[in-house]
Amino acid sequence: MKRKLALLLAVALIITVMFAGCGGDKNENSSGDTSSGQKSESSSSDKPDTWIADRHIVGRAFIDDLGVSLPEDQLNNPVAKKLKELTGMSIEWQYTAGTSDLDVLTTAIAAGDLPDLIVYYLNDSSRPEFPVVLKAAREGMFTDVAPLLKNTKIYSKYFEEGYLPSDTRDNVMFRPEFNGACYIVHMRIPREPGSNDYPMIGGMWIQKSIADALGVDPRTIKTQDQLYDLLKKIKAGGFKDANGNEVYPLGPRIWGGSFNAHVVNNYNFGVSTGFNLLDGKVVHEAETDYVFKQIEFYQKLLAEGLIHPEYFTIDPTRAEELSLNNSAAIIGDAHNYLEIFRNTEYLNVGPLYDYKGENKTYRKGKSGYAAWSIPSTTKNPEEIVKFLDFLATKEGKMLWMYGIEGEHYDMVDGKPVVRQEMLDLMESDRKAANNTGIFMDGNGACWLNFIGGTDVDNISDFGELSYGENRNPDQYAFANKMYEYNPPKNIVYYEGFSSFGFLQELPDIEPQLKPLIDEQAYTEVRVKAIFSGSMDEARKIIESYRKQLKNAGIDEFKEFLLKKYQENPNQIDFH
Amino acid sequence: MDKNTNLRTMPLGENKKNKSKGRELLINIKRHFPLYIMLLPCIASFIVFSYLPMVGLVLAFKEYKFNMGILGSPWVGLRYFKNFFLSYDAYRLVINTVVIGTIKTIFEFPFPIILALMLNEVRNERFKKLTQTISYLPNFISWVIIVTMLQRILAPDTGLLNQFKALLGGDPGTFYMMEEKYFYPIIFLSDLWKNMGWSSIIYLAAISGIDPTLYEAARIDGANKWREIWNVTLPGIRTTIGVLFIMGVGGIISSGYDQIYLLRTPGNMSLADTLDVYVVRVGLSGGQYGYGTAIGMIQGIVGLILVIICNKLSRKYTEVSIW
Repeated sequence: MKRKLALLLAVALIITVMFAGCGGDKNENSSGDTSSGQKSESSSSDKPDTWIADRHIVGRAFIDDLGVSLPEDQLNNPVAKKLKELTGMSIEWQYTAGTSDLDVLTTAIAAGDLPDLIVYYLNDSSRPEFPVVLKAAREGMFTDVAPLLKNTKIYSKYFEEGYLPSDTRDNVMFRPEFNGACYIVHMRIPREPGSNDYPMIGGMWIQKSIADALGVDPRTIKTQDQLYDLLKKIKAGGFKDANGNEVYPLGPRIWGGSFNAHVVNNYNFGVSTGFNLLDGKVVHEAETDYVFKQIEFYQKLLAEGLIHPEYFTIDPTRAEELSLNNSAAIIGDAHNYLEIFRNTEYLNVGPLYDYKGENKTYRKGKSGYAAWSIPSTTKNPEEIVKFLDFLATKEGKMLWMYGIEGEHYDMVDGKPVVRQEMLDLMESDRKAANNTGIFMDGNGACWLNFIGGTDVDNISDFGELSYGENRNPDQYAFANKMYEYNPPKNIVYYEGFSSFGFLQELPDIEPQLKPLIDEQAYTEVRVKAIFSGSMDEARKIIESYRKQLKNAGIDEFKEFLLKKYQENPNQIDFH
Repeated sequence: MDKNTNLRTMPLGENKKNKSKGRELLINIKRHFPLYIMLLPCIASFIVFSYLPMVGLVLAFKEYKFNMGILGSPWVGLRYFKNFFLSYDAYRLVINTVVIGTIKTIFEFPFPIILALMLNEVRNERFKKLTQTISYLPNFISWVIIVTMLQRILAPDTGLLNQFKALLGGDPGTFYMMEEKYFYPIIFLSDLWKNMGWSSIIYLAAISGIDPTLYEAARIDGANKWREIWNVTLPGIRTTIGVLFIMGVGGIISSGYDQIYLLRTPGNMSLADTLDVYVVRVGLSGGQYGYGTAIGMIQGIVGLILVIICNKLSRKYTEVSIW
């Protein structure tokens, strides 16, 4: 399950960073718009204005499977060479292949095995990485970069009122306990609210040909009963996949098996890692009847052959095979930027009403994606901060997102228009694309985006949301069409910690409760109950789980959460 | 038949005084210098990978702080041990571990011996070598690959086994990986397949050390093949079997991590949650090093006690012992 999650996140990362904007700054050297390579003679030396220091940085990236998207030569690709010329700095990433990034991060920090700079996933404070890096920050493992950030072009904006999302500001970067110090720097902050919003939509997707044959508008599927009826109709329709086998009415998530809470969204109560408010009290979903409704629904689908038998557990490779062969009438979860949608047309289903019977889309407000820290052992951290700041400027972004002007792109009306051969390369030879060192929305080298992608506003900086759209506006026409078909409605932005993130504040019950209520554990219990064969058996399993929760001290945790919520309702993401 | 004297190695300098022991060792080292040099990497690897890490065991009594290191972190006494034994799940974890440990160390134990005996009787050398090679190759395949293969072979509807069942008119919908009752057989058979050939090598080596004249003598005495195996081969490798068994007993309290972790599904997790998996989940992923170390330490101590007891019993009743 972990690997599946990791893969999902990796794919999500690629798509998210596809829309990496660059933070053009008013104070920025205007050379960015003309030639990223030009040197400005300074009065005292022949070094460009962007020069920082002659230095080689070793970074460590706790990012799953990063190896496949690094340039083979991290020092001698066109982007790296230009970077060296402009700043004097070079960077090289170390990574550990094939292991969960969280395990590696924990081990590396515990062993004190940290180079000059580290980056890790941290889309918000509910990520499992957060407790680890927070502990490290508290125990003095990282450099306080707050004074260094204040003197930068881009990161100084982080101190402006209203620039950072409150979760980033209060929980991640400037926690009150640190008294103004900052050890963790969040990335992918949109310059303006919405400037990082791209037409991306997730959820269930039905093959258009099947929806047409059944005469169903999948957008009208709002309740569990309607979904069930649709699946029955698909089954009765006897539709075939690419290999001539009967399709599964509901297939797994495209990145491998998972519980897919949105498929049982009418009963999805535990929105804050299992917890939510019920009649003024904090309860865990497993203590409510919602869990039985979820189980009953899935049991029904399983018993009637309406769902792929390995829906919850299938490995990513076979899940992708299923989708490539169109073997599932409805894909359990995917998003509209996946390549498979270029070839077969799918329509967005639902989304189903939430447990309150409302048609709302909850989104984490302006939020980050990855984060970096500078270990306290690093010498001259100010040079590194300057370097990262350069990467986040418009000039820096132009370099790592687009490459070298005249070689990889041309400037037309102040906008970068990538050369057709780069788009061809992106399609035909991923390795060669990597080796250019250019990001190409995640289809090229993912190595500077983690430390350069913040203050994002691609449209205003580059006149395009995604790489290559200035050259070929139809580059992502398929994805846009899928989005336009059923754009999210009633978007509610929320902020605040996920309940799970508070557990570390109760060290006495944490060791017991953590392995019980983490997302994977709760999912496993439900899946076990679903496969138990009957509701009676399922009830026994859930009862036993409830007992375990009690024994592990869940009541104490719930009281703690309630107290936190009463102190400040915005600090927990109950909704 | 004097079956033991030439098979057992007499301990060095057993009947001499301590004083001369050292000298004899020196003489031995001089005489067999290249052999001792070859021993060095082995000793070094034990020191580096087995003994030095034992220092880390103090973590079981400390609250690990990143910045204070292993030795500087504050002591917490037996807190983690208490936490574990008072936890609601300890009993189940221990039972699961012991069951899987027993399957792997006790039930699987005779199979490599049987394989070695069978291979030993194969007269065609080429066939013997080929069989032996094929049987030990799975040892080099990682569990990730084996489990991926199993997932495909055992998949519902599309898996090889279910397809075969369907051919015979059966229901192809069995989800073997998700049903508890198939968990132990899958563990047992996959582990056996992976390890049997490799483990048999040591027995084959022991068998080849048996004096051929013993077989000759047995045949002159009128022994058939079965008699030869029973009265010459098996007694000839008795010490090897005994030593490996005693060492294996220490593994009863550990189930191995990768195989179980990878085969674990929501359907079988009530059997597949073992101490080894728990230590990694809680200790490594959860960053609770002290707690994880404490549980690992319990495993180590119980394993050691089992080995000591087993060794004692074995020495008393079979005269085979490690020390």
